This record gives sequence, structure tokens and C-alpha cells, in this order.
Amino acid sequence: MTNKKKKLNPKAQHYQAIQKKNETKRPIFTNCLKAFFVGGFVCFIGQLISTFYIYFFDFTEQTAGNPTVATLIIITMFLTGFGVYDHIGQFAGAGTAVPVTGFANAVISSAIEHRTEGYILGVGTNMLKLAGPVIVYGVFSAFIIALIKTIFSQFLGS
Amino acid sequence: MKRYKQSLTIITLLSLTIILGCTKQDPTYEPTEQQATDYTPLTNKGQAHQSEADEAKQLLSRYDEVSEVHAINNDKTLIVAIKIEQGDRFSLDHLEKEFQEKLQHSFPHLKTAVSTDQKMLFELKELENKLANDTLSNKTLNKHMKKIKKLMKEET
Repeated sequence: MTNKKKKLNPKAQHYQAIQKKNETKRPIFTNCLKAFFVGGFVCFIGQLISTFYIYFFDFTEQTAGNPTVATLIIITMFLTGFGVYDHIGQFAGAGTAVPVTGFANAVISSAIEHRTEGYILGVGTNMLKLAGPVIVYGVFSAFIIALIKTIFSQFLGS
Repeated sequence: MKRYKQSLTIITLLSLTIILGCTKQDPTYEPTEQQATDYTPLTNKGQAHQSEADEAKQLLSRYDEVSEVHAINNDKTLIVAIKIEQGDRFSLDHLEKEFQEKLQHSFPHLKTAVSTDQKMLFELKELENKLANDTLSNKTLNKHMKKIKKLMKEET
């Protein structure tokens, strides 16, 4: 970064300084707050659905996770199809991207977007394009955390 | 460079939090003197065969960590469902194991099963109410207990 800046001529450096001064600052705190509350609300709905399955059907806390996730995905599917999820996503950012609903939205929206290109080369090829990195880095970070935990639990002898 | 250092610090702090959170704590839980939790006694409602369940409820209700307790027994099995205080839920497995051992020690002639699952709480509460109102036959009770035991064994 600093090497790059040194190579720039004074005019460009001056321009960059002006640009930095006038750039609209990202409202990081507000974004975090929005993500926290909307994400929390998604989890609240998830908890309600989970309790519903536990109370009215023969699901335990252990097994209620599967139908809960399925229900949340179905709800997201409809919200994405009707174009509502886009607006929520624009407002909440990571709050709607991090829970499973964000993953569902990524898959479903790309399936809708590419359906004109055919079912195999359009929908089939592009459906998991956005969701792919989620799986790759999800598995990768889980592996790293598991590795760290294993090493430390060996050290601490638990 | 500054950014890189910042992110490195954040990652290190996060990893440390996770690692410290994951280290095994092995506390022992002791009952307090005062009765902390209310429970539904069944023996005084004409259900004399539920005396073991009542004893188990009395035993567990003295723990600060327990906020709700329900139990049912037949001549072979004792099923207990407990609700753990929110702050103590981090050591849920440990508590479940410890209470299981304590109950097994107190009732060696019965097969004891302890659960912290919400489903078991709902089911046992319903059974207790039915027993208190005397609307449950022994055969139905055994059938329900079999179903609850099966649910307890279920995994994802």
C-alpha cells in the first residue's frame, strides 16, 4: 500500500487526499446495529418455529433443527420469489446474509436470475455459484477451529 | 500494514475467546439449604406409587442451577426432566451427567434417565397434570414413558 503510494506523482497523491476527505464514510456502527437486530429477529422466528415443532409434534430439541431449517428456507424461497427479501437484505446487510435464510436467498435468487439460460446450463450451473464459497469457507473455518480446539484440549488435558 | 495488524489482533482475540470458552471446567454442584424451585408433588394427590419421582424432584429442586423439575416413575424406570438456569446452560452436558449419577445413586433399584430437553419437560408436565387429576391409567402411563424414553434416545 505504502509502496504504491510512493510511486504516484504528486498530482495523483493530491487527488487521492481530496478523494479520501470527501468520501462518504461507511456507517459501520449503524450497519452493525441493524445486522444485530434483524439477524436476531431471524433467529427469534427460528426459535419460535423450533418450539412449535417441539410442542406440537414428536420432535426433541435435538431433532427439531432439521424441520426448522427447512421451514426457514421455504419462507425465504417465497420472500425471494416475491422480491421482498431483497429489500430486507438491503436494509440489514449481514443480518440477513449470515443466517441460513441468506444462504437460501443466495441459491434461489441465482436460480431465478439464470433460468432464461436453460435448466442445465443456466439454473443448474449457476445455482450454487454464490453458495459455493459459503460451503468452502464454512468447511475450511470449521476445520481450522476444530484443529485449534483439538490441539489446545490436548495441552490442557481435557 | 496497520489494517493487517488490526485484523490479526482481532483474529487472535477471537481465537483466544473460543479456546478459553472451550476449555473444560469441572465444577461440582452442591444443593443449597433453601428450597429454590417449586415442583408438583404427586403422592399427596393419591398417587402413592409416584413417591420416588417426588423424592427425585425434591432432591433436584434444591439446586440453584435447576429452575424447573418434572419427574415420573413406574416400578422399573424413573424419568426426570429439568430446566437449567440460562447462565448455567454452558455446562448442560456436565450437569445432566452429574444429576443422572446422583439420582442413580439415590435410587439404585430404578433405571434413571435425566433430560434437559424442552420436549421432555412438556411431556412430563402433561403427564404430571394427568396424574394429579387422576385421569391416567397405569397402562397408559407405561406407554407414555416408553415413548418418552424413545424420544430421549433420538439424535439428529
